[in-house]
Amino acid sequence: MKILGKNSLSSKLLIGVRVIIFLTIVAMMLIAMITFKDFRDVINGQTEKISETVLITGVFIAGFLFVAMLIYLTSFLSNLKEEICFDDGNVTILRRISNLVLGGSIIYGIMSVLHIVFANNYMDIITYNAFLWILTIIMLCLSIGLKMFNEIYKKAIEFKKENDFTI
Amino acid sequence: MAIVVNLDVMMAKRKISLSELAEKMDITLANLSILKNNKGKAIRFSTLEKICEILECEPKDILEYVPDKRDGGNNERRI
Repeated sequence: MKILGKNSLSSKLLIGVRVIIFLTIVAMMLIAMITFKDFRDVINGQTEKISETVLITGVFIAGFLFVAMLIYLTSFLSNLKEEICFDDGNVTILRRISNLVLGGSIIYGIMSVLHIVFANNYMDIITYNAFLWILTIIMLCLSIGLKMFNEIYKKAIEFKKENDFTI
Repeated sequence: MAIVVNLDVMMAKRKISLSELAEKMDITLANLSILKNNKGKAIRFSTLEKICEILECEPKDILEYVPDKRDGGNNERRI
């Protein structure tokens, strides 16, 4: 199956990413309602819900970054669909995606620390916190991987430009 | 760029137009224009050979080294 052009993997993936954006926005609306409810409970004195509130708030904030990342991904896939592959615009998009993933990893890292501070019991720390740290590390590695890929992509564009201007 | 392509000079001497030269060389007018206007990054030996054959000249008639005053002419260009 071809990667570039109409009726390619990129065009099909584009449809999938748009559906995911829609579902993420719907999920974030639900999370917003839960976050608001939890905040209200904490303000009303239910301090045992602080760790849960920290988690939900972090997921909500990371959700914005996730949606932004998906929007940039649709731009990238649209360019691939139009067969615009080795272009400086794509380098910018990939750089922004890697920065957003890094931002997400920082948010999850902060959430992990705050969760330890406000956790009610050790079981919470062992279950949720371990998962959060794993997610933080995965996203950090992904961000670094994307930055490396972006550098290689930039080099490829440089070679292509040189080749295009070799007569 | 330190390497200057004097294709237009040789074309004027041999009284040949760009389109005619492109046709004889079997390359597109756009590509030859890139070369003529010093926009090219590199030139293949095969292209240089064809130019010299058609214009009956030497590579030194086409390519000239003009060192940049800024860096003392230390630019590297690949042919």
